[in-house]
Amino acid sequence: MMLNTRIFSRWIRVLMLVLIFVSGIQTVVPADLAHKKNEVTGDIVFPEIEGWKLVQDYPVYYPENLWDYIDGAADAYLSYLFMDLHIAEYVNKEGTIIKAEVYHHKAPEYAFGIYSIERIPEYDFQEYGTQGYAEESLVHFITTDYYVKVTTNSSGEEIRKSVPVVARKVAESLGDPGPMPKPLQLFPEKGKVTNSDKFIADNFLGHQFMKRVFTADYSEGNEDFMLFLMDKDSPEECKKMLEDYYAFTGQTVELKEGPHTITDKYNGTIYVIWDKNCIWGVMNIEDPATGKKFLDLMGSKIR
Amino acid sequence: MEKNRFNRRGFLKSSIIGATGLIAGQKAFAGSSDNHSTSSKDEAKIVYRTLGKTGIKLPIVSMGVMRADNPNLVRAALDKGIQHLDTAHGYQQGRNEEMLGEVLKDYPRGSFTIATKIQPPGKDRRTGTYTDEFTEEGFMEMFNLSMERLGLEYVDMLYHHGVSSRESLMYEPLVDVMKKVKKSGRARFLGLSTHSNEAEVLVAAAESGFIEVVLTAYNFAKNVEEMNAAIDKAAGAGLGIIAMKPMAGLFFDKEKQYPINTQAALKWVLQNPNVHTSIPGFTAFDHLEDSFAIMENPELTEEERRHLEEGKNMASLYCIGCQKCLSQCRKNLPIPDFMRAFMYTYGYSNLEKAYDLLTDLDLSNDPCSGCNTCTVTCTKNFDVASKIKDVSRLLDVPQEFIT
Repeated sequence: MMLNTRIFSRWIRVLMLVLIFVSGIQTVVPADLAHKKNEVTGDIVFPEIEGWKLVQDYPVYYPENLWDYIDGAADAYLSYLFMDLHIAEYVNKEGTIIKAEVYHHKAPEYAFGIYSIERIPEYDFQEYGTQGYAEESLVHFITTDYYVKVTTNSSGEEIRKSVPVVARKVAESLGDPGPMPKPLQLFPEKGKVTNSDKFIADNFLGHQFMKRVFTADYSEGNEDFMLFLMDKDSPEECKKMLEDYYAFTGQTVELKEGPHTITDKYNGTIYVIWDKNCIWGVMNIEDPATGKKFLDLMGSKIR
Repeated sequence: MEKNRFNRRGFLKSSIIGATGLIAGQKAFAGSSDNHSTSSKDEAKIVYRTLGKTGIKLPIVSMGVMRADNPNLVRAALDKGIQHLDTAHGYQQGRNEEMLGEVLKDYPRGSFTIATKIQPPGKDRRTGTYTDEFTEEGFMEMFNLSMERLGLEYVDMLYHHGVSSRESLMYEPLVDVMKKVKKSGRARFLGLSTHSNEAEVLVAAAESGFIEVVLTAYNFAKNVEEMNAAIDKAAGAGLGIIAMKPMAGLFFDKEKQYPINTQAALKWVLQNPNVHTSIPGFTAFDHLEDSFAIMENPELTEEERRHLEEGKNMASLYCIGCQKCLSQCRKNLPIPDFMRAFMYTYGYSNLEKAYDLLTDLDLSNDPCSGCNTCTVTCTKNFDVASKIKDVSRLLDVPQEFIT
């Protein structure tokens, strides 16, 4: 009897393992993205480009050894759920190198997040993947769950002109880029500083209880301020976050949905609205009326 | 190249804290020996150590700024008594230095010290050595951009970023340009950062004749004896020693199931008197508070010591999951799973979990049978065949004795 139970239990485990394995594959590699990776090795398939020899001498970097490649900058990438880094070099007949680095993150919002904290609004934005920009010797862009950097150390004008060509080929090889993260559409367009939006994975405003926050900078009259949005899984999560925040500030407040004013000794006065699963707010603002106006604008898109 | 014209007005708008002037009187240089004081800011007791022959006296905890993007956090750190800030040209694609520049313009130059790091073009990151793509102009372009972002006339320490060998450290064109920067007064001291092959680099730095400060990875989990000897030598040669990565990655395991007591980990680092300060990466106000709690009481308790020791023993059993072994095994065995089972058995003493894992693999109790020699070379140098043989014996044990 015990043996039968044990065998049954073993088969159940095996069956569950198979189910988990199969469902895992479906989750990680959707059919429309499957062509981007070699099915055997899991490596990125870099495109061949006429006039350039494709060289793949670099190892694949993982969270355990990303420090070996980008030193202390790795910590930020790890906080944005970095999974692996694939690197290829394109070498022309003169031996000049254009390098393509493909940082793979767990989900598109995390790829956007690390890209967004490295980007500045004044860059020269062009059509690469979901979004990208070009400078003299580099192109950076995001596409689905990849953050891609194409660079050269060469100062030659012709080589620098080739960087965008390589970037576009790499972008194409990575498939349909998909849209920007949906929560960004909930920010009002009026007054928004173009390309200032960000996704902060953790420790927003220096608080460990503030995670997964979208932000954007605004300018209205003499006011420069920031709007932010947290889209949580449940109202209880929102309540817990506010509870933690009030515990930090020492304010005694009835916790219910609606507007809240938080007096943060480090970050100043922060006005927020809690509605169901969402909390959105404004900070760095001197005129509460302007803040309310923008919170209402945002609320009309969220509700 | 990148441009430094981003005005982060909105985000950087100061809270009142940054401008309240809770700052020591201005001196020529922060932390100069004549600037040493054991008096506290914000009532916190602060322990200072002297950074080698530089003579700079620093609190034993400094701020690694690399991940911080909230200027108010830096202000809070400076106001509370943190004196030394560590950044790099490449952090956040330069945004990190820009953010610091916005903050530091409100502080007297003598009230803080700052280090930045340059990893110039021309470095082969696979080998850590330089190619002929390195140029003095390339280095200076990066350094000048860093100074522009920081808005400073000089940095206290200029590091060669990410040195992993003596050869790289002594690369003459780079040594020459760094010396020129120091001579010009735009860097008070020259140094390097290292997180790979650290012991060799520390010894090489001690013998280099020009490196004055070393920022090195140092924690309870990695090459302790070798590192202690190398740090002794470097400190004995008068170098300032700053520890980074003191928390050893925050978790004992890759799966992040077993967190490290970070206060214990930082205290462990500070037990070494030759470590003059450390730079845990602050991203939250709680981290700041924790650091000051440690500075007030840096003694490692017996319980904390035991926690680290036990965790370290477990860590030595971790398979990092690189999966490089998979293609090397002639029998296509799921080696990472066997290594996990081994860790459950000997690290966590959790035979049930190991047994379940092995059962799920549905392999025999002698998976390597038929192979005379193992073709696998493990990244962590595990004796893979012996571990598989050892842990597979669990399958011989009746289940009722396991649970």
